[in-house]
Amino acid sequence: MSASALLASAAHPTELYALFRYLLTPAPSASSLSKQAAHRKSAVAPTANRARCYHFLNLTSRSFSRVIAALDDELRHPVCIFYLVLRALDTVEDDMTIDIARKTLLLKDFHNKIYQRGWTFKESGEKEKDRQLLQEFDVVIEEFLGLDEKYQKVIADITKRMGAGMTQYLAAPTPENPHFIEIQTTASYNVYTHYVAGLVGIGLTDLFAASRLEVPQLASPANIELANEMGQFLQKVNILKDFLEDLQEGRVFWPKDVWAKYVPEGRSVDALAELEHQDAALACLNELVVDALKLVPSCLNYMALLHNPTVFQFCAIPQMMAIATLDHFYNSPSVFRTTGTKIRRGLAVKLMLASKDMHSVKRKYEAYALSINRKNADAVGKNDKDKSFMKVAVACADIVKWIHMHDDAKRTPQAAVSGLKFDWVVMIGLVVIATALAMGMLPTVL
Amino acid sequence: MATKDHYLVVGGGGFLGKRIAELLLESATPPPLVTILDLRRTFSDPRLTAFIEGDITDPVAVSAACKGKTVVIHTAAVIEGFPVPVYWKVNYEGTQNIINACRHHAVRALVYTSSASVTYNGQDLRNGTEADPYCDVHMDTYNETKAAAEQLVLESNGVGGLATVSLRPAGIFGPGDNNASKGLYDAAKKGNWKFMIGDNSTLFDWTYVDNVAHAHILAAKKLLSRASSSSPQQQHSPESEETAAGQAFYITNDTPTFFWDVPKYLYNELGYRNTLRTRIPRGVGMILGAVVDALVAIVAPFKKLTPTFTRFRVKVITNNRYLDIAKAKTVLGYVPTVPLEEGLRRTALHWKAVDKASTAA
Repeated sequence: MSASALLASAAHPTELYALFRYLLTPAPSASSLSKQAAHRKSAVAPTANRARCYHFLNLTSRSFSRVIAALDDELRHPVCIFYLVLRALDTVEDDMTIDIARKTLLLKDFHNKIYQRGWTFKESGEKEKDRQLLQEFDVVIEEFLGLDEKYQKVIADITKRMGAGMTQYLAAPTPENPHFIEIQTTASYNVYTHYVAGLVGIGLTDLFAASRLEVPQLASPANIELANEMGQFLQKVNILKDFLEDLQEGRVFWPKDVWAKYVPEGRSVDALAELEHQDAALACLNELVVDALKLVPSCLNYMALLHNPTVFQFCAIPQMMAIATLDHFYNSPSVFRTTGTKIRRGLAVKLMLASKDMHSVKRKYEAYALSINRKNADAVGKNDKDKSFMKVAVACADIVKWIHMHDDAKRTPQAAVSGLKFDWVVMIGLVVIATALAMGMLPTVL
Repeated sequence: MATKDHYLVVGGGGFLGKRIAELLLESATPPPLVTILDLRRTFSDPRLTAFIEGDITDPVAVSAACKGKTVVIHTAAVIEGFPVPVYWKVNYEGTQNIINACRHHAVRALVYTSSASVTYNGQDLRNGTEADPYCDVHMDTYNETKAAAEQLVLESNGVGGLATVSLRPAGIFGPGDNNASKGLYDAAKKGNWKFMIGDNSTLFDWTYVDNVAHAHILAAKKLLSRASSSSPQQQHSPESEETAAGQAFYITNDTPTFFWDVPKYLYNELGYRNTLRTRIPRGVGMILGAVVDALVAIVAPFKKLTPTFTRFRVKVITNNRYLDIAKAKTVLGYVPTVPLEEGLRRTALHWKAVDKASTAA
């Protein structure tokens, strides 16, 4: 964590508090994690392989490794390996230096590779930040093969489905169509997000059920659909947020049947990134935000099914980040101007700390639904191209309605927004105290 | 069926009744017979069997109109601006007249238009169901008489072969309504589009008129299918198949939205920009409302004031007020046919045309 994170949250004292709390809990080191993972099978000493896996996990995503670290012993290692296998698969998919035929074969066959002791892949492009993982993939395979068979089955099954699904979206750029991936229809957008993220939700659900930390019924067909939508929601938020970055790398995930309505005649999607078409771009963004918001009740339904506190937190943290991110970039020109848009680190940490139970998750979701709805209402009449006002309003209302239906007790409606206002109350309080102190209003004891 | 069903739409000259009659005439080929009973002839339609001008407070006129009908759909009521006895005379006694006439002429089904407000008096209401009781103290005489008449209708179910049902729509709006969207249109014309009360965090139900009309037709058909199938063998059919007869149903668009979003949409369509920018906090609104209430009470002996900004209205606007329509969905098979946004779009078109006509004049 950097000083800039603290600075960004300077006007949000509750976030500063969260940041300090976060700083005071030590980050898990790779060796401590691997020891924890090995703890149950005390006969087996923590192997170098295991340590290497958690080292990779830390490299790929520091915050994610923290969330995995918090899982119960039983699940920690299977989830870690699941994550690394999918990360490796994703690295192959992303790599534009591998030719399509070879890539297709590899993606389709990846679920077999994880059973081949000693298999590694050393041909990743220089730009792939996780290429090291593939170069030493034999390490992950060893650990995969050491997992209980029930976990191996889930991981291999999801890898097979995801790899096969990804191959349907590979394209070679041509002068007419300079994109490596371009999604044509909303239906195809839904299928794509199912393959790359919905399946992660499904696989995790299968792992949870297999571990018996959650009931086996968690993996019922109806719940599997919820798990799918959970994953899709995360993916769609990222796809919306990363528009510019993806475009610059030649990937367009926004469905063509939507963006085509907003670009000038004869232009392609890159027109959305131009300042003169900002109104159209925002209208397009907001239409896709509606599509993402509609998934939120399913996500809440899924989280409400979970019993194990560590599993709950594991699922809730990314969801909370996603809804906060959506609130952050809804109707925001920054999506088309800057890359790497993120919510403040302090806010992220605050949300992580609030992801411990369904009650606080509901409060946050309600506050975010109201916040998006307020921005929506404020934007009415300012962008003639934007026809999503009522649709956003209804989607936000549906979220609040879900929360009402699952509320423990009736509250006064005003309490809902206090969470967002609290920062100001604390801040004013602090300023008053500081002023009082500065003016020497306290009696001098000494 | 040898003979066609013959529908009588009481109040068929009004906003809702007219849509019921029109949708009935479009509901099948060939359509059923449709007759309207209303105080005044407000429109003419060659497809109607008859448009009878008559008063529901007159038992003779009502009896004559009900003669030979299969179904009576009763939508007539006085809503606002009348002395208390008129509400009882029209809304309550008028309904009793209709029930009597239905029995006398062996009408098979009676569908009554009630109101979602029979159970509502300003409280915070989320996902309300038909199991909720009537209000102890009603919002106003209109609601009090509607609740009393609904009880008459439901108690008459099964007596003398008549099957009855009561529908309780919430927040009916549509092109040319005299209440919801007209109120917003008038407010906008008066320049009251600038401020809102509360923080727009509470949910409110609106229902597009065609959906309400559709529900009436579904309810009538449900009662008829039951009445015709009640042969001796089938009378002991399992109770699992829920019956509509003798029941009340909430009818909404099943799309509660934050209260101010609908006005915002309509104002925007009418060309007003930057609407509802001044937000009056709920607490301030309640105090202002109380002051208005006190003023009304003080001047009451001299002059009757009917302000729109009252403490009660502030309470209604800043509380949740929406219903669970699961019962109408499962028992009547009701699904809103016109989505909220489409209903609002059509309503906005109507008021735009009105606005254009009035500025041209």
